[in-house]
Amino acid sequence: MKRHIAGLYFLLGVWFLPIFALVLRALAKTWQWPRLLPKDMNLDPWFHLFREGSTTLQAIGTTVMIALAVILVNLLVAIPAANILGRYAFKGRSLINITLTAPILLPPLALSIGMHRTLIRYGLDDHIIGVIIALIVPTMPYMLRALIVGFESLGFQLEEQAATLGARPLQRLQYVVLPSLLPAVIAGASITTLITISQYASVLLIGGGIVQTLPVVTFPFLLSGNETFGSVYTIVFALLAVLLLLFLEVGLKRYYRKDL
Amino acid sequence: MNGSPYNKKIILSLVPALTLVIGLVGYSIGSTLTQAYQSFESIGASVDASIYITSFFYTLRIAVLATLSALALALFLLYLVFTVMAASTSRRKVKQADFLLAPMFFPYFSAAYMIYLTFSQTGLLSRVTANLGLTQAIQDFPILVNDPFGWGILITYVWKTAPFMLLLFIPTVLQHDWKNYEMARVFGCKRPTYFLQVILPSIGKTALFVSLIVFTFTFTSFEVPYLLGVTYPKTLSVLTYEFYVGGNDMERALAFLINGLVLLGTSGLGIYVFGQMEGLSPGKRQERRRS
Repeated sequence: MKRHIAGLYFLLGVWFLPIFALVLRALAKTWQWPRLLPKDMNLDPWFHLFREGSTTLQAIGTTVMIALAVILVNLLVAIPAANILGRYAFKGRSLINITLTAPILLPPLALSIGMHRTLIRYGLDDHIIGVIIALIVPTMPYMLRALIVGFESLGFQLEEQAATLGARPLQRLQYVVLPSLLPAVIAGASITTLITISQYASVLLIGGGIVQTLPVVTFPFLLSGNETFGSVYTIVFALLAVLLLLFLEVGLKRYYRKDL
Repeated sequence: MNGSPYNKKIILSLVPALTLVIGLVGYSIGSTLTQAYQSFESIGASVDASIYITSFFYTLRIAVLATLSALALALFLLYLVFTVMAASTSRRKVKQADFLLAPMFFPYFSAAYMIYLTFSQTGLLSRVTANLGLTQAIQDFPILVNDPFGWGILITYVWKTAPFMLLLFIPTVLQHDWKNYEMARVFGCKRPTYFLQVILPSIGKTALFVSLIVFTFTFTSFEVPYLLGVTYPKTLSVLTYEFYVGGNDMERALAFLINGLVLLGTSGLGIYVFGQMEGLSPGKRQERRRS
């Protein structure tokens, strides 16, 4: 038993090597080979990226806005569909389920290339709206799967009980359905967020370099060989992902607890 | 389904999602294939696709190797998790195994960059080998990123997807009837034998589907080979993107064609994989209402 656990910890050490490399690289402007640790580690590169007038904060804002917009559209479209697919039996249910799940495997970039000309025709390229449209297809199946599971476990009883006690449809939605769906909404929104904020090529293509999300700002540093800034941006990115997930989890839960 | 008002409700609820998904996907496929057709017509017959064919086999090799290596690693990790669980009496989830899932929280391009920082000739690993006296100069360390074989790309894929596979395998081990294991042990069955003959067959189908998903992903992914690849050969996705953004007429036509085929292929594979999985997990269908 002890030996297994020790083996597991060794494995974890190897497993985390890329994370160590990233953190160390983000703490120093220069890191002479073959030093195991950089000579003077400090947060200067961080201050540099977040200095006044830098694009970093703006890029974070754009990224968050796109993620929230995609979540909102996904929710509006997926909730009614998930309600039917999760709680009702009807002919063709499986087929529709499969059709709506299959796009999980579609590469976002290929879809973006496919939509590009049309978005140009309607003047939606180089604009945040075009990017939002392009990111709906790769994320919606995940939202839908999560919500279907939510509706499956909700069932009908609670709603019927509320109806018996005189709750009107809107009240049932507000006080019964939405709070029960909360875990599913959080799960769906989390995956949507992770996928949305990590797109580079589709955002660059559709957004034409004008829509500057965090990956669009980060990539030039990764390609140019400026390892310090590349690493700082990569960590900022990971932190943003974690913060957004925490916000979804804590924020949504608190909102509903207050409401109930 | 007997003409009740629910019929309308079903249709109205499903139409937005179906329109959006089928509309956008179908439109993308149709649009790229039409554009390919129109471009080929205007170019005429002389089209040289040889660079795409090289690229296809290069991409296929990387995707197959990545999928098989990730699967092998995931099964090995699953075996470790299984051993730890079998050795403990509580049979509870192994908490340390959760840390193995860490790479899943980094997006692919971040992971690619981290692999670059670790495995490049001046990366963390080469510093470790130099300090251990295994290598003397920077050039002694093998070229593992931006190399023609695609080592860096492969390592990134395995690092990212093996945890994803493990995550899907663990529930099977957790939920399987441990009484069978006790009994097998009483009759002298060794732990590895039990893993091979009982656990492995029970995850067979999940393993097949998750491998297909990983294969599709690694075959079509753009960011990782864009960062860690070389000028020649390029993967299909990188070639398509570059030809689409800055190619001549023939290259753009080929880019449209490949893009359309990739979308068709992945749609088909998606329908097959999720169709099979739908059949595997009937869920709570018996509680669903007829409407």
